[in-house]
Amino acid sequence: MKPKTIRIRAIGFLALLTAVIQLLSPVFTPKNEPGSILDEPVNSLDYLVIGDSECYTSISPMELWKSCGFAGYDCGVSAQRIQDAYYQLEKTLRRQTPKVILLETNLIFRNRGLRQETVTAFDHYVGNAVGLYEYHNNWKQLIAVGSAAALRQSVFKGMRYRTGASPYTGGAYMAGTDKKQPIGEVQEIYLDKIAGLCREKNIRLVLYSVPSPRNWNQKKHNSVAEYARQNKLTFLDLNLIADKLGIDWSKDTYDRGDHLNFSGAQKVTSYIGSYLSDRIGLPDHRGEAAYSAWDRDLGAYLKSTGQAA
Amino acid sequence: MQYVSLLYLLAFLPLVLLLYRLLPQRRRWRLLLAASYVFFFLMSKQLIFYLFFSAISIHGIGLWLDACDAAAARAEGEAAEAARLACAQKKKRILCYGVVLHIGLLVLLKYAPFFGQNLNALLLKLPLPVQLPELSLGVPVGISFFSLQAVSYISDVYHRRIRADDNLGRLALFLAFFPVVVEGPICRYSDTAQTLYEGKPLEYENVTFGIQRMVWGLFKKLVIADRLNILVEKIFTNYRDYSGIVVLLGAVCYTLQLYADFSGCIDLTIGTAEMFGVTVPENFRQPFFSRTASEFWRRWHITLGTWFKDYLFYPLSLTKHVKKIGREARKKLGRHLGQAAQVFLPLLAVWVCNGLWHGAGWNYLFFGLYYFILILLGNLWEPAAAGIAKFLHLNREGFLWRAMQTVKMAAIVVTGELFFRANGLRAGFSMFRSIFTGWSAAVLRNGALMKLGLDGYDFAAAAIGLVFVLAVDILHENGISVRRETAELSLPIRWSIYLAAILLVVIFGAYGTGYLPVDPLYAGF
Repeated sequence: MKPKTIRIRAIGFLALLTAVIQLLSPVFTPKNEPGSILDEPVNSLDYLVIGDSECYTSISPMELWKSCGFAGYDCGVSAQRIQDAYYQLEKTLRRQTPKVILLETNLIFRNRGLRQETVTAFDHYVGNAVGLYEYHNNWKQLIAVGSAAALRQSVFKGMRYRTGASPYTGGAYMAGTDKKQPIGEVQEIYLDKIAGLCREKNIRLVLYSVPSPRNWNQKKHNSVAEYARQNKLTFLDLNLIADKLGIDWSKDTYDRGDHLNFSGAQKVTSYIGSYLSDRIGLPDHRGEAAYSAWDRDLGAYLKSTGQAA
Repeated sequence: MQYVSLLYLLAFLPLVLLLYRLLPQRRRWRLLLAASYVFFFLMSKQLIFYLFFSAISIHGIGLWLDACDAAAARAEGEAAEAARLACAQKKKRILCYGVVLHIGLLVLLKYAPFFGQNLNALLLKLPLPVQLPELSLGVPVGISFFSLQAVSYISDVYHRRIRADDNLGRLALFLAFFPVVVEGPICRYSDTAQTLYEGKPLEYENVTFGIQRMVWGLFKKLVIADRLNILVEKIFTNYRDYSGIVVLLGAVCYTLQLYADFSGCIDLTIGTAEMFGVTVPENFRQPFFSRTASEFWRRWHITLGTWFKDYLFYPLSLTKHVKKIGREARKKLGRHLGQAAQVFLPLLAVWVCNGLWHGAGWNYLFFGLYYFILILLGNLWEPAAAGIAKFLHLNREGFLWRAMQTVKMAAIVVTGELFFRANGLRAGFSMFRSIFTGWSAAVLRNGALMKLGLDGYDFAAAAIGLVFVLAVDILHENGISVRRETAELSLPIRWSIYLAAILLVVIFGAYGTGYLPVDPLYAGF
């Protein structure tokens, strides 16, 4: 084959590939798909919860709506890194103006080292420019649109409903020590970025740690507590008050102390509800016409969680 | 920088290809060497020293061995025989230095903590107040691979299969070539070094075939392996929470993950090398169609198996002591059992080393011994099996018999991989027992499988991906090259297939938000 033909074919194929990716990107880029935070009306949320799976198994926005009338969303993503949480938050804040952001701290310690994180940063920046790459995983939603599963997810407002119990029997795990588990360089940069973004948008950032013997310890607590102190942030380490919350490790975890189940999540949510009510003073939207969808969803939620009368 | 990262695929590799294309042919190997060292440095930082040291040492040892041969060849008359003997002795010593140096370094870096911990545990049981200090040195990525390549080079020079290379750069490139340095395949100098050095022009067929192979590798790694990783991690980390079908599912998924991950990364490796016109040996040949354990290892991680065969099994089998054992055993036990007795020790050495090569842990040693016993028993049983089949008029080449053997072999492989992946030997036994003790079909109905980190869509994507892999493996088993067949199609159809393949990887890959990047599994061995 002549070199000129090869060049023409190579350019032609790359052009075709680019065109197809550009055409498909809008299809995958989320707009208002059911079950997503982007489905919530603009500027309708009072608080957001961000983090990894510890986050989406610990706070139930619908419980908070039921007891306090706060509208919020649990944005937790399984095994999420803090970098991804930052970029996700940045995008979410283009549509929402919450007063509080609750950051679950487990993801701060998801650290793959400076070099690896630098390499993945390149992937992120390139990927960010291509909607299909960034949102490729939405193929699941594309298939599920209109299905019962999507509707069911939407009434949970991001929380994952987990029942069943597999007890944690390891005993006390918050041993008294002054040692610290260092926060990675990249993780601290992104923690600073999240704090900076919240300051810029006049949002109160609250760090909280879900009771999790498998993931948390005193060394991690000491590091985050120090960071919170230096940056004048509130840090609620619920591991220290698990007993006070009424966490029963024989019933409130579905995987031996890794994550809380729904029963555990209700206890944590109740505590967070009191905190948001007493210390932040979020408004109660129950009965407001603009929030009628929340009342409607509450019925479905109660039915799904077996709380309907 | 992983082979599946965008940094590698969209920046590093295209840049190297572009520069390679622009440089004159005689300088291209220098570019490949520089790119390989940059690639290695990005992953192992100052530990690059070990790679450099390996290159320098095999260069020196090779020339030293060559010098011995030259000195012996120069001797004439009566002195010739004495010189030849002296040369043989000296060469043997040099070979020993080289092997001890490289294998010693590998053992020191990779296994010192394991041996230290076990020795300390032993000392604790003795009335000796002695404990060895913990020795934990940095382990450069790929050391298990480039050390074996270094030893194979020295050994080949020793046996005069190849001439010693006086070009340090060519040897350094042979050890460090960036597509293979992380997880092989384990190359031989005679197959690879010259094609690396030649700086062949980029050819249309090589580049297109190379890209196709890379896309296939990405499909296996991203769509199947990294997706299954979530479930595998969950089950093996929290193995006490699971039993019965779930543990079995974990073992099966890990086996499939390992195959998709390792063979996928090898596809990326071979595809990259192919673009540069470099010959790299195949490492897999449809391993799950194997009918016996020894056949499985001729199809799985082929280059490791052949390395052990050529550089450990044969040299040990040909030692005086082992040959003597064989002779004695044949006299007393007959031909078949005598042969088995002769290969017993070399085979044991191979499988102990194979197990430990994969990692410093008792479960790896167990994994090696597991296959040792299976292969040994397979060899012993073979004449009896043939006799029984003949007596019963069973057709051992019939479809049904072959299918049964393949299923049996799959079960054996899955069992081995369970111990291989388990967090220690004790955990392996605990998981193996739990398969039988906690058997309940209820998990198939009560949604327990959906709590393992994968949803229904993930299971479907992984299953469809595996069907693709199975279909391609069947075609390859029947001697059909998918890439060659596709290349024969008309341009619109061909391009549609290529586009579809790329989009499948981009859309259904388990990467980005919600997925942690998974390092190539064999890079950790």
